[in-house]
Amino acid sequence: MPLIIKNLKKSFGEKVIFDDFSYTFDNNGIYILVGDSGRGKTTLLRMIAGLDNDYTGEIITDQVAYVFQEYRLFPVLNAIDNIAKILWIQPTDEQIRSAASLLSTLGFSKTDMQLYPNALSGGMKQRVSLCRALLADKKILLLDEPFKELDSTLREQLRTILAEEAKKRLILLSAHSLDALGDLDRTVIEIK
Amino acid sequence: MPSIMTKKILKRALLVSFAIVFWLAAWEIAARTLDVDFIFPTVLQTTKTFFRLLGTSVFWKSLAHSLFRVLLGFIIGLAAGSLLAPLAFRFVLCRALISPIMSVIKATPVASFIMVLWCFVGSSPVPIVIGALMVAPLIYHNLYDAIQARDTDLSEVCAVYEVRGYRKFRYLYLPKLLEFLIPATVSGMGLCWKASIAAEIIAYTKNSIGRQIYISKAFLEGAELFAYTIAVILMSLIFERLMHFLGELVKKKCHL
Repeated sequence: MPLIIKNLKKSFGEKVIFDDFSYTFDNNGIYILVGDSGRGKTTLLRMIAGLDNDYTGEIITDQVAYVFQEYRLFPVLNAIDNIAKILWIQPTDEQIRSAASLLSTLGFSKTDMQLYPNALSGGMKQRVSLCRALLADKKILLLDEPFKELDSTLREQLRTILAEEAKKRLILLSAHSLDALGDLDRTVIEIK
Repeated sequence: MPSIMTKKILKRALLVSFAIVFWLAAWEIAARTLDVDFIFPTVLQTTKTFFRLLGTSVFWKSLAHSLFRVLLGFIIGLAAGSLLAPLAFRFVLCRALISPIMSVIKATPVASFIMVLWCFVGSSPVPIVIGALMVAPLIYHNLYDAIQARDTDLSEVCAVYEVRGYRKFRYLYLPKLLEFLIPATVSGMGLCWKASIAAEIIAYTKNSIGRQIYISKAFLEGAELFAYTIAVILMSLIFERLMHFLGELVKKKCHL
């Protein structure tokens, strides 16, 4: 079991976000965190990723890859290097080819791959961030609002990629609503 | 038809030329009115003396030695500031020890340092140490601020994807460091020239522009004093521009 959350308690000042929350993610597959803004979806992803350790309870987790809501690309690296040079110390030709191939699948031309983040649109940045997470090859993939900046064609592409990836890893993503997820096979976790 | 860019450059060149001519004219009028050329020479007298000095070996020898001291002081200050800032950021005890010293160095009159150092190290190293003392706090404070201002969002990306060591420095810290360091080195260079020459004057350092300025003043050679001062100003400007150019080059190379 790659991810177990036991008796999680988390609050911001007086505001209680999680009060004795437990969940066991039994198998690989797609899990969706659904809930209104401010309910703690991003906070839970951050705690699982080890970026927020200010809580009580226990989170037993494997290595994670994370697609942040704000993409978080390095401004000094172009699109392809934001994947290759971040994931690998000395990327091999094969690794660079795999990054280029995935970017290409997501609609990047060879010229686009050489662009720096300041020249990329929001959707393009998100796709680079997604490629980086997918190629990180971790057992758990966390995605914070991954459908936000994507048009319908790219959403469909992302759904196909996620469906394929879900066979080999656990995917936990946050979403405002389930509309963008289409007919993806998933488990919904409602955060109240 | 000249382009908008060419027009802008021409306008700027005209403005700069006007400002130079205006202030040279003001200097000339003031010098002629006061009529004390051994203290306050005219533009013409200064220019003539400057070109005469260019033909003397004393001028070039003094300039070369002063240049060496200024650059050495600058490099030592740069290295010290660059080394101490990360240490202070990483270790609380280091910060507690270093920060007050840096603030004291920044606030202490440069002349006090020169007098104290002169007693301990002799006249020749004083300008080097003074230059370093002027540059180190500037670099230290700017680098410390740069480390503090690092992108915490990207820092989290580094944590998630295990980006460590050189890669973390290169992609996370270096861009911010350069952003803060480049302006600091430009102003540090100017400061280093000013302080080092002041130290040479007070410490009467052998083979130095400062010493020549002191001698000119002692023998009431106003034109020479002004000519040497102009040489210092020119050198300071050249090296400030050089630092600026190098900074821009690095920024371009690092896609900043």
